[in-house]
Amino acid sequence: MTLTADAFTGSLLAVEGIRDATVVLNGPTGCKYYHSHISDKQYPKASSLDPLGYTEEFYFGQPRIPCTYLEGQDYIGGGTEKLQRILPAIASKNNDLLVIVNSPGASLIGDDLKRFIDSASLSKRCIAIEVETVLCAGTSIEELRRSSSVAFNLVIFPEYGLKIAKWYEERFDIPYIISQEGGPVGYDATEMWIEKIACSMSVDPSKAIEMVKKERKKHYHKISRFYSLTGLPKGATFLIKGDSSVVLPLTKWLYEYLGMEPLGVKTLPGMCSGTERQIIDLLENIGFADSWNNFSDDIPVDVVLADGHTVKMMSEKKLCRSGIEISMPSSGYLNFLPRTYIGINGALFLLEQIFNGLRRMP
Amino acid sequence: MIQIAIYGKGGIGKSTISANLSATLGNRGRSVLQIGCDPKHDSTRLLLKGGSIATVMEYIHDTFPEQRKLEDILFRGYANVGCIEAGGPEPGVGCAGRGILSTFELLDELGIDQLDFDVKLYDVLGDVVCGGFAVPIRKEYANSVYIVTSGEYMALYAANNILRGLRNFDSDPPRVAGIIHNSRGMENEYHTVKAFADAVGLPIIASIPRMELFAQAEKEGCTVIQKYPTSTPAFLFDELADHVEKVSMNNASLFSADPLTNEEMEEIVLGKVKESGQNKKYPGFDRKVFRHEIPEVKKRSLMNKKNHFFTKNVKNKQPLQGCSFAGAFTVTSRIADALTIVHGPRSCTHIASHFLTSSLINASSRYGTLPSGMEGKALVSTDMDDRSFIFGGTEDLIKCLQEACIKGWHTIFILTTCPSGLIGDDIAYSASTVKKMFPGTDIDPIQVDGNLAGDFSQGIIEGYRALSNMIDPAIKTEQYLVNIIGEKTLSDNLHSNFAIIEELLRNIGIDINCRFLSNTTVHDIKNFGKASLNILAYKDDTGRVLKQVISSKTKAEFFELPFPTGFNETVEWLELIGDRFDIGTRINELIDDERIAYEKEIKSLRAILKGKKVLISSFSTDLDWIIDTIIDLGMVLVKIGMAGSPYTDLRSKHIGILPLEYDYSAEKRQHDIEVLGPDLVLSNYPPQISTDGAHHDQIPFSPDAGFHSGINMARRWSKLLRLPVTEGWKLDGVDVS
Repeated sequence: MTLTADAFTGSLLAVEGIRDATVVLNGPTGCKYYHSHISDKQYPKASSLDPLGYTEEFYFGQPRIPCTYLEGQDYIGGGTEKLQRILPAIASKNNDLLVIVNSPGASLIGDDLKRFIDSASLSKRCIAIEVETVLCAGTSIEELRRSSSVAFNLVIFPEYGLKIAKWYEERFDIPYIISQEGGPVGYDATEMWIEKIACSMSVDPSKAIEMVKKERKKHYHKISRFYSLTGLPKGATFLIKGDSSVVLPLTKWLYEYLGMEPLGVKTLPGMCSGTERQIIDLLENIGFADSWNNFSDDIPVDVVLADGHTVKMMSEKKLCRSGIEISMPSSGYLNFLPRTYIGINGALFLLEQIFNGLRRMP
Repeated sequence: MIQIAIYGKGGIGKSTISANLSATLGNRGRSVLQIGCDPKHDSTRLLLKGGSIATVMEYIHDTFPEQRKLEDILFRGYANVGCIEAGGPEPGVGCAGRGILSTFELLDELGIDQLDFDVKLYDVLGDVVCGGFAVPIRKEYANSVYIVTSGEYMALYAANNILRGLRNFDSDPPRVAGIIHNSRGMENEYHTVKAFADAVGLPIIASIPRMELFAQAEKEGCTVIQKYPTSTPAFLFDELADHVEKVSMNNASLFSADPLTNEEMEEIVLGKVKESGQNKKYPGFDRKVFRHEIPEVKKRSLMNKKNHFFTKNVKNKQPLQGCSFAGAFTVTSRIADALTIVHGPRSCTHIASHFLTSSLINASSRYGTLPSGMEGKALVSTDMDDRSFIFGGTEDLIKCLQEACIKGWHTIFILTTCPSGLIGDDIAYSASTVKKMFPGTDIDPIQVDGNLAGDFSQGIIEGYRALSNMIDPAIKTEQYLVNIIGEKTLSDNLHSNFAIIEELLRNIGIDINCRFLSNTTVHDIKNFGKASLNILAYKDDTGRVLKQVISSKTKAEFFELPFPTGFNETVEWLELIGDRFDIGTRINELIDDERIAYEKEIKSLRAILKGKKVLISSFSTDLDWIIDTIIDLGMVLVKIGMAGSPYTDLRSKHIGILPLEYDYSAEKRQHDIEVLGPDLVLSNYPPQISTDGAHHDQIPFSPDAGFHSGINMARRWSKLLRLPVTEGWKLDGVDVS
């Protein structure tokens, strides 16, 4: 069981997601090792994991997230000495934007980070942030600068994007588009998402919708033949745990399009309350109210859609026939082909995983 | 013995009152200890001719843990009063409250309780309301609390806040002795204080007038008691001392804290804030004169109680690798029928659970060992957030504990993280509160406080220390039972290595009693003493300290060797086990069978590997299993380079025979490859691009135990040397390392 990450992890990874930004962690190595590890997994900086490559102070053998390695005395006397040294040391390596983030413990000390930034003459390229920030995925600083010149912001998953979309609206008068049916996951939600964007932007959605319909037709025979042989996927069970904007469209699609039974449905902390209400209503309407918030990784199920750890563990225990990762942390599966569970390709990926899983013995 | 806390707003004169009270009691022949708990560390200067002594905070900063002694921070002042100053950080930075916590922890560790004092007096800043400054009013400290105030609004406001703090701690038994009015000479001041005292239901124990005598005495760096023993203030301090004596003999009433609301305060009190005076320095002070002499017989028992259980990085004050919370978590999470509650932010539990689950997944997918029962699932986080950082997290912890008890957990561990440690949450109090409601549940707080207790390895030790308290000393020993101690719980091959050892032992008629710890139950731990021998899985620094921890709790014998790796180590290990249990014959049969198989395999591999040159570059310090294999194969070992810290020495029987270099770097390795021309380079992390003509292979950090570890590696080398030195993919990218 891996507990979901909180805002501290989120803020570190948000900054690490900016291509030319470096997080400087004001905190202990215990907070550094894990975040450096998962950040480097997502955005590899080094080819090897050899700690001999990063033996210099503040790095502790890892290429990402240098830290002030706060210890007992620093909590009592403040981290002044280390903060004075770390900023010039990291700044001399490249021209990245430097972002200092406090660990939860460091936040109790009350070190004046701004003072250290100023004394290192880094006020033009270094900021200190509180936990809560923009979530990026491989964006550059230049792209972020240009981001205020767009006509619309598209919010795919409101849990991560709605707040910042509202900020853009307030600050730059840029409207945002969001689908009330959740993210574009599965054929139906993808179609609705396309229509919503097209409508908001006054463009014709028919070509895009046509593409979805073509794909549906193209794969109809695969589903039909499998069904005629096994009666599946109708009646196959599934467990799902993820962000509410993924859980809603996916639960709906698996139930309506494939005829699968929702055995347990759960959302992660930080869900959108409106979307969660829609999930509860959906389950009540289809007679599966008991499945809400009822996710057990100890019971056998045909398909499990959850974080990588849960999926992998249930697979290892042979408690599921197919496991699909829809949230962090990852199981560590190495993807060579690009994979997604959103849009048309995402729907096909989900179908491939489900049908090939169901081919296995229960 | 009575313990008094004197609380009051900063600058209100509580240090002057504390020093005069201590002096009065000291003059009466009472043995008094005064501990200043104010970062400005001037509580005891009037007892020390105006001099300043080394503060505990300075001492912790400058002294290695093993060198700390009570006599370095305990001084002797006027009337033989023992003097200690906690000190604190510079104003505006750090967490002074945490400093107070650390002071009390150190005094406890250094054995302050073993010195006989009649009165302990804590002089505490009362307008700081964080957990650290509340330590002296925890139940294990102050029996009675005096609040010093003037008639000024802010002083009374601080006094009321102290009552609020006290009320949060407890209501039973009452501990407030009363109010000490230290006059500022304001008009109607006494009436204002009296009105406040009446409103909160407390007596005014003494009313000290504002007199020039105090300033005169202070100028000379002494108390009024000392300078003007027949003055009015001296008479008043004598009365105050009488009251303390009565309290200590239960002849004076103590009262519950019943603070006013802000509105009530405004109604009752009117006044303005006045700045207090500044400290003065008294040069020429000789600390030696005031050193508190501790009897020799006491000194021996005052050794730091935790000294023997420090890991290397903690002892040597090296940067801490990881945190003790995560280390302790890897221990408690391995108890199959116990719940671990992480008292901290969710990120701490997320990180710890991520590592735990990853190791379980890897063990399953690589070694086919499935997690059993609740393995990896018995954890809960109190999810501390800003609110609990500011207001304390014990309420949430108590709720979490109650829920766990209701769910039926009978053994619960509480682990603390940096934030809960820094704000000074009293988890022992939370545990005892819930324990009263659920007497059948064992609740064990392990106060590692994130990395405040030390690094990851230190956390492992702290976890084991707590668990070793559960061992039943009355259990009768059985001859052919052994315990397995200190397996690497996050290693992928944790269970597979155990299975190898278990099989080796079972083959010679020895059973395992308790895995301390992996998939262990509380019952297993209680019955730890059934085994006649303890076998350490690893004899590294952590294993060494772990042995000391267990030896301090039980008299159980420890086996000389850790888990064996490779053929030679396994032979030696089994032979020694055979000697210990007097079962040599069975063991010889087993070894003979394995030797025939080993030699046959070596002979076949030698045809390919003989004469090949090998270079080793390693963080691992136990390499004999690889070196032996290399020698048996007729390979040539050109150098062993040890990377990592200078504290990690190679443990090898080949030292002095083979070429060895410490502080080995990637650059040195590359140089040696070019100069020495090895065919095979073995490293913990092989370099990515090997255009140097050498083949590279990995040395596992946690090798497999048993006869076959070396031969399995050799099989791989024999294949490797026949494959391309540089695979095509290595030419497709740019190496960045």
